Amino acid sequence: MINSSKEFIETLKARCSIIKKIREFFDNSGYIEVETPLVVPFPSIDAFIDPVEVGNTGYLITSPEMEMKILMGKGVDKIYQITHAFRDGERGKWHSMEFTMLEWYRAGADYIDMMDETFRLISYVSTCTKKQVPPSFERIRIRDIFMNKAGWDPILKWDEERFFRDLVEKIEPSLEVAGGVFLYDFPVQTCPMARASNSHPHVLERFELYLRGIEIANGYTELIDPEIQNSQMVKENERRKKMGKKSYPVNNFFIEALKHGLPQCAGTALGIDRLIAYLLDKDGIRDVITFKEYNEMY
Amino acid sequence: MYDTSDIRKNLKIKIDGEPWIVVDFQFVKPGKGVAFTRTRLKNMITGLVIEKTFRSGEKLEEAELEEVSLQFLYKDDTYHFMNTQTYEQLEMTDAQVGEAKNFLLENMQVTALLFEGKPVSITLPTFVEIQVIEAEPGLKGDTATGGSKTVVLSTQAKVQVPLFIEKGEWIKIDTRTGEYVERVKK
Repeated sequence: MINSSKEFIETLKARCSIIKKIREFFDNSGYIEVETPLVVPFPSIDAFIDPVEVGNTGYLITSPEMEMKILMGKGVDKIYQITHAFRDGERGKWHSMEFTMLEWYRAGADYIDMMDETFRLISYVSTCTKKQVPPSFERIRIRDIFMNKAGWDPILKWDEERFFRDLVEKIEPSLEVAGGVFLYDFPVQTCPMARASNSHPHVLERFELYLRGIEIANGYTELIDPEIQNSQMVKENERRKKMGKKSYPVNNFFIEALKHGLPQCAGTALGIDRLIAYLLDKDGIRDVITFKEYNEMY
Repeated sequence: MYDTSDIRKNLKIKIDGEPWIVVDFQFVKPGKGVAFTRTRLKNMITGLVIEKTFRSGEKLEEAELEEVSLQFLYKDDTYHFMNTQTYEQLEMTDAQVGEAKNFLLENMQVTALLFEGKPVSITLPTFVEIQVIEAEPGLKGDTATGGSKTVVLSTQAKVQVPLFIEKGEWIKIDTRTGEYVERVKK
């Protein structure tokens, strides 16, 4: 028997309870649980996220984002999904090519509402574990934490290489001692599907939640303008080509849905394996993934 | 050439002309951002440990290292060795031989690490037998009290030994710790 230790069984049970609790939270808040395809003809186009190809024309989803927003365009106002998502080449203590993701969207909400809801969700879910979640999570603007820990302002002067290097070398390690931290107001260059702030066009209405220095959730006010969204995707493809990576077809169903009209909404994606590792005090997602033996093979 | 995806524990890479070994590594990647591999590297010559972060896809030069068996021949200004496979003669400086010189005897077989064909470090056999050339007179019958004294070996190294060890005797040394193990009858 693989992994037949008592600890493994305990983790398996705790994982089950946590996922049930997540469903309970959304079911009680009036959300509909949905399913969208795992294999899609159009992957999300992101300079730094590589999809796994299936056959000649399909891709495994890197997130169910576009499909869930298409559903929002069809008139539902609160949806959530627990799904597996796949990202080629991602493997490590906190990464796996295949991982479990929670994603939810709410009409009429913005990223501030999403931060509130993400905190409420984690507090609620933690009650089925021994973990003491802090009574609130700190909120820090990207500009402020960069000025403080790295000595420069990435909103004022964008430098991609420097931004991500400082993020992983200076910012994230500084959050390891913190309980829970929302970093928010990201530079406009960091996400092609988030909406820029009306009052500060260099800033995205986007946040990342860090628990114990590990990125757990990413949320934003959704970009619903079809023209801007389309040009963002073309731009991401250009960036991919420049890096010698494959470019992908733009999802016309998604662009059409935006043209037809999407309610102003916000959404959040949360890494369930990472959340479980946090709640169970495990150092890495391998201890909470059910088949880590496979995970180690690619 | 290696790629960042080749990074594993014990991978040997060359940075600025020096060989480094990967002691630890971690894949780090912001969800929407560039992937990096954070590494902890040990310099194979100096032992210095540093942290270095590589951007995904960055090329890494391979450090060509080879382990060979050498025989120590003699010392003048430098240490002279012979590769027992190729009979090629190799030289090492005092600094490169380092602590090993305390227990290095002529004709001894040692393991050396060659970096680009040049020796950068040597490892002695775990146990070596060396003659004591200077010692205070032993105290008769005092074999059980556990006292110790300093003696000088034929290599000029000084070690702590039990009181009963006398000048001219041979002793066994553990080269990993530099400590006396036992008396050897020759």
